[in-house]
Amino acid sequence: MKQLKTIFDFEFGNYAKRKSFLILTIGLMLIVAVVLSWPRISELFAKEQISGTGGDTAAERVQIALIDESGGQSDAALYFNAVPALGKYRFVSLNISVSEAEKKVESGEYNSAIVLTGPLVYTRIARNIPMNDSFAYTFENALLTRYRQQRLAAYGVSEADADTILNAFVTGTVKMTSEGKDQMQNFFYTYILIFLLYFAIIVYGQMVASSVATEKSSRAMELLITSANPKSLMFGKVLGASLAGMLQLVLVLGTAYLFYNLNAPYYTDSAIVQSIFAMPISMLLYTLLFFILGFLLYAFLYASLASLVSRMEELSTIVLPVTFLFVIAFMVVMFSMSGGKVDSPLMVLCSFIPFTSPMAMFTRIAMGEVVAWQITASIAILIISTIGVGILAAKIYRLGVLLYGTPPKPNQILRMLKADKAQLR
Amino acid sequence: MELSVSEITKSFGENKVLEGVNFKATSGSALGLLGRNGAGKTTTIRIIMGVFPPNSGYVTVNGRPLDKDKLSVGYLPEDRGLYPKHVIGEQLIYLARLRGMKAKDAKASIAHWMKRLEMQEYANKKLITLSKGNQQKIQLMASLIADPKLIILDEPFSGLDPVNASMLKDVVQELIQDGKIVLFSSHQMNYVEEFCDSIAILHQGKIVLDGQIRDIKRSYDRSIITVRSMQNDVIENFCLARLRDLVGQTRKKRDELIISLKGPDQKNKLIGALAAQNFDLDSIGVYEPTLEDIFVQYTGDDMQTGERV
Repeated sequence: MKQLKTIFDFEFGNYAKRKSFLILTIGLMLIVAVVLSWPRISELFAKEQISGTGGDTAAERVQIALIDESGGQSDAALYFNAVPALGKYRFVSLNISVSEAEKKVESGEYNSAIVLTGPLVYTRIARNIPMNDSFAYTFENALLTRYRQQRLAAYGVSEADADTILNAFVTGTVKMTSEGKDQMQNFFYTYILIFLLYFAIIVYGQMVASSVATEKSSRAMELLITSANPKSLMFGKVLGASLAGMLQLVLVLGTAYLFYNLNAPYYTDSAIVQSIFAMPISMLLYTLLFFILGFLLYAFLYASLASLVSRMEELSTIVLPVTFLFVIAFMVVMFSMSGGKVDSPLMVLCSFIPFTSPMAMFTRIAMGEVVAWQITASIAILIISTIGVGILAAKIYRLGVLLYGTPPKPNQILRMLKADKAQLR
Repeated sequence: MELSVSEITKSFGENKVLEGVNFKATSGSALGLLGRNGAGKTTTIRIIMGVFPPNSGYVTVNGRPLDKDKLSVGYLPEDRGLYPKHVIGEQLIYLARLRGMKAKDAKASIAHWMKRLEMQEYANKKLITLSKGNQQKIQLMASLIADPKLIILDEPFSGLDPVNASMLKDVVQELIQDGKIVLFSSHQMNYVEEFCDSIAILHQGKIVLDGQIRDIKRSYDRSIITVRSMQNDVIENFCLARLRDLVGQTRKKRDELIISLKGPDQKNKLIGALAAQNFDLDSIGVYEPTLEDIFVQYTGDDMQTGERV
């Protein structure tokens, strides 16, 4: 037990003291903090820009030449200048030809020109259109509204009535039964957490594998194996990595939570961001539970396979099947999620198979309808398999660390395990 | 204190590696565990270290099963290796703690050995930055920091320059004088002869020879005489022509003439006869095989138990 603690401390220290680990953790925390503070930061910059230009925003409005060839009765420029959504622009009615308008735009006197050729038909003359240009959308809306108002007025509908009719909106409220879930609302945080689970498990699993392979290829194993029990060596290593991974996960999630709350006023009208942070605390606990179990399961596999190689070059080949298995699990879950079929028979099956259940059951809990006994059964199966795989992995590890040369085939490993068991008896 | 390895057998699958290995080693002396590559030395060492159990047989210390928690074992493996990218001091503390040492004691012990092996300046360096010989010294340190009572050194001199080799020789002599049990495995027979009072030769999973080196050498036929002289050719002819009643056969080995007598009691007669002829003799004496001769004889493929020279 004391040995296990020593190994655990050493292995955890290997991660925690490593520069790349610190940089990655702090980097991730910074990115999360900046992304979540972005509305506040961009507002700060926006304010500075406005105060820097002296304040007369009217003069700064984008000048747009308007040539009305539709033969409308009222002054179109007057109308558009009064539309609040077009407040950034100032329309100037000009009675010139299209080619003259083109010259004016070309010379930069006007940002662009609009030629109205019918109540709902127009041509826009512009020098360049920026990437996130919203003018067309807003302008077309205004044009359409103007047209409808005019038509309604022609039918004798008063302007006030027309406004009411045109601006009517639907008020809908969704009432969920306590068992149900809004997949849309849960989608984003499930997506994010599944991604975190996937990366954490695959990155840390591979780190465990390369750490084992390094000890073997550098022959440090010769000394370790004669100084400590192989079981302690493997479990200490896997547990050390899992604590490091969890610490990183908690730090990043904690940063996200903190900065969301600091910037909460900026997210009042962002449903997606709100839905992510409205995640029930139970989901967070499930994330940690499935991370620990899923990570241990895969880390045991990675460690035992890595113990069979003699050189670093062989490592990626031998762990490939495990990585493959995990990527398949990830794909199944991702496709089911985006298809909205999180309770499909395939997902139900996957949520009980220990190698896929950490992600599949997690998704079903978050987005689907899953009854309590299924959750319990899935977690129980996962725990039992993790322990089973752990014991088997320790046995393979014990044999593997002393083997040098070509990594053995699976049937050879089985034969060795049998022979070993017979000897220990 | 006495380490005793009794009737150890071990096989991996169909492959029988050890078939009844016996030997004893006592504190205050070194035992040379010799054998060709693949003879089973490393397997024997690993069984002593408890890495895996033997199929049968046992390892005892003073008649009790070896308990690694009570009797610490220091091991310098033939395949050297530590963590190349870790700071030396840190990994030595880790290894000492794995063997049950407290961090404080480990630090004191490391400081002692760093000084003894003239390595103080390297304690805070990464292992990979050191020369091969210095890495070797760190490796040796790793096997000695936990103050083991039993020390197993597998090819400790490989890769050391003469100055470091001489420092290591002193250290090994000190360990022996301190009353440790030293198991010394090497193919460099000159070192084995220098340190070891006794040897055990493993061949194809069996001990084919063990005992005190002195006794083993003395057990060889004392009727073989070596003569060193500038006149070896003349002496050989003289022996074959004139001393046929004393001399069986002769052969030459580099600058030595080796004469097999018909019986050990003929030794003085031969010396007398050669002296009477007034040959220019540098030396004359009973032939003693070198350890290398003995090793080759017992482990060579054409091993013949009948004739010994």
